[in-house]
Amino acid sequence: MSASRVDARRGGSGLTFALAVLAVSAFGLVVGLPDLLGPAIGVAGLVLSSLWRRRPTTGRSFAPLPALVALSVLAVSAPVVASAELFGGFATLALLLWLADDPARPAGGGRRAARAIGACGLAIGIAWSLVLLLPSSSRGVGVAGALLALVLLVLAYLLVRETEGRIPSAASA
Amino acid sequence: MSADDVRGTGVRWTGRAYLLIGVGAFLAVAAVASRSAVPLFVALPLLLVPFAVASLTTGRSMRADLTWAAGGMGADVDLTGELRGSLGTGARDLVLELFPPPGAVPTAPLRISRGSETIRFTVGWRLLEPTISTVRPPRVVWQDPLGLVEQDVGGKRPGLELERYPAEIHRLGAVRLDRTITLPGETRSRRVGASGEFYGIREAAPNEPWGRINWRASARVGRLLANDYQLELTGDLLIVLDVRPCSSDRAVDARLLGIARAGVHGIADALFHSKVRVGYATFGEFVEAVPLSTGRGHRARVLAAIAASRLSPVAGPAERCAVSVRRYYRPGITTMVVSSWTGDVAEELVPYLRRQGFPPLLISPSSLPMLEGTGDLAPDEEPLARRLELVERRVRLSETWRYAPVIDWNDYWSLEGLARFLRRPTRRRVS
Repeated sequence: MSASRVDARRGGSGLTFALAVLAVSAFGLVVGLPDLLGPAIGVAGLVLSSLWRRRPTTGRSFAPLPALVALSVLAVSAPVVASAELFGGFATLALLLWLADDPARPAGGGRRAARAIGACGLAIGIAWSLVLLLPSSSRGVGVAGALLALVLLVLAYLLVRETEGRIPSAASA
Repeated sequence: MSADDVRGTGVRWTGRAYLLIGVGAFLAVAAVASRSAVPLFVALPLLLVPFAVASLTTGRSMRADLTWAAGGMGADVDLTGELRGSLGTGARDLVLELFPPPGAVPTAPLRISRGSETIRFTVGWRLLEPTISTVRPPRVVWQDPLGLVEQDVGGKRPGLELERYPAEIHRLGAVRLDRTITLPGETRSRRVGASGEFYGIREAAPNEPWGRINWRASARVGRLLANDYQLELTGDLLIVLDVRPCSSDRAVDARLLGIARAGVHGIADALFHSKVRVGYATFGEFVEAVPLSTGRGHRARVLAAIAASRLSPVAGPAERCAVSVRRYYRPGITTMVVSSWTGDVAEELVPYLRRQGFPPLLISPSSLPMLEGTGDLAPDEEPLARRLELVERRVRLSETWRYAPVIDWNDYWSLEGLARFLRRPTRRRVS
């Protein structure tokens, strides 16, 4: 028999959803698709993800897929302007914040995930500042800086995991 | 490390983390291909966040010990539990994964109240049929709020024994069993209780049933007096559980055996409380027997044997059962055969046991309630099909009535027929 994986239900905060809708709509607007198609694609993706997340099935782990697809469509069709880069980053951060605010989990998920999302926001901020401040010929430096931040985080993760593997945990001692 | 100890695991990524990394990688490739930085800005948080979450989580050690109990009556199971341990701030993000026993449907959702050191939970299930089973301890997983990494939490978590059988069985302890064999040197035990021969008068308890009040004596002394009865415990009972596969559907056989096992468990337990000597035998391909005895040690032995009874892959001939039982037990013992056999009538255990000198009583769990609605019949044809199947079953069981009384166990949550029969053993009437 399949296991039931049900937690205490509560109404999910509409605030993070509204924030995500706002950020995705703004990103859709700067993308420049005709007839408000950009915001429509973004909001449609978010709504589909939200509906998917409400279904108590095992596949709800993949609920962000429609929203991610919508963001990808917008990102690929966006012109290379600083505002599009900024709004793209914001929209992704807002999506992550909405993901942390899962109605099937205890309230305050956004607060508890703030450190991880904050680290991503910091990386976006650094990358965008570099892109904005550096001359256009050195725009690649901004991207390289962001990628460097990613590599550093990966290294930190691998290092911590390696250390944990050598020290026996309290449960196994 | 005891058998109840669950070992915690390290941090691992969930499917959602791989989804985010996959989409992020696709966007990074798209950025390079289209020479645009916008997809990269969207990709950056998606690629970063799984690593950020994993870095913040790795090295955390949590432990939660479980104490839990099952309440409720009959088919309703109200499960309450408490997880206690070093949880810290992670208590908010613990997810419980419960494993209901087979045939249990949820009636009340899982409710969790979280503290810094303890997590309490309640859940309600309804069992479709009687069962004796061990409920697996819940899996306790810490999952980050984004659902990207998770970690199994270790701790001491015992399984939960769930014993549910028809309520009437609890009252079987007061029955008088026939055909007892008194062994040399044995002293028959006597008990004062609610049934048997008149024994004496005593003060009535506040909740005394009206039927037990001696009104004449009460009127004489001016206060309520009640009758006591003396029950001579004659108890010897041999329970034979038929574990042969009885139909083509193994799942149905397994469910029927589960019901029979729960019934037998309840009957044996109730009779042990009345100091009845109980023997237990299963018959699949061969007979496996636990000798006739009483006492706490023997009770534990019999109940463990009942719980361990499993469906046999091969059906042995009924004569073999009767002959083998004769080797283990002296003839004349009241023999309760629990069998849902629906195969060849010639393979019924009852006639053979009777010929070997064991007066049997057959309890036959019916498969009809299980099969209800499983066919491809129209809704209006279903009642007619049920009636025909019931008539066929009654005809088949009526042939067994020539050799022994039969309890047709159609309603799994009631064994009123058996209780009534055992209370009036001389009349041999079952309604």
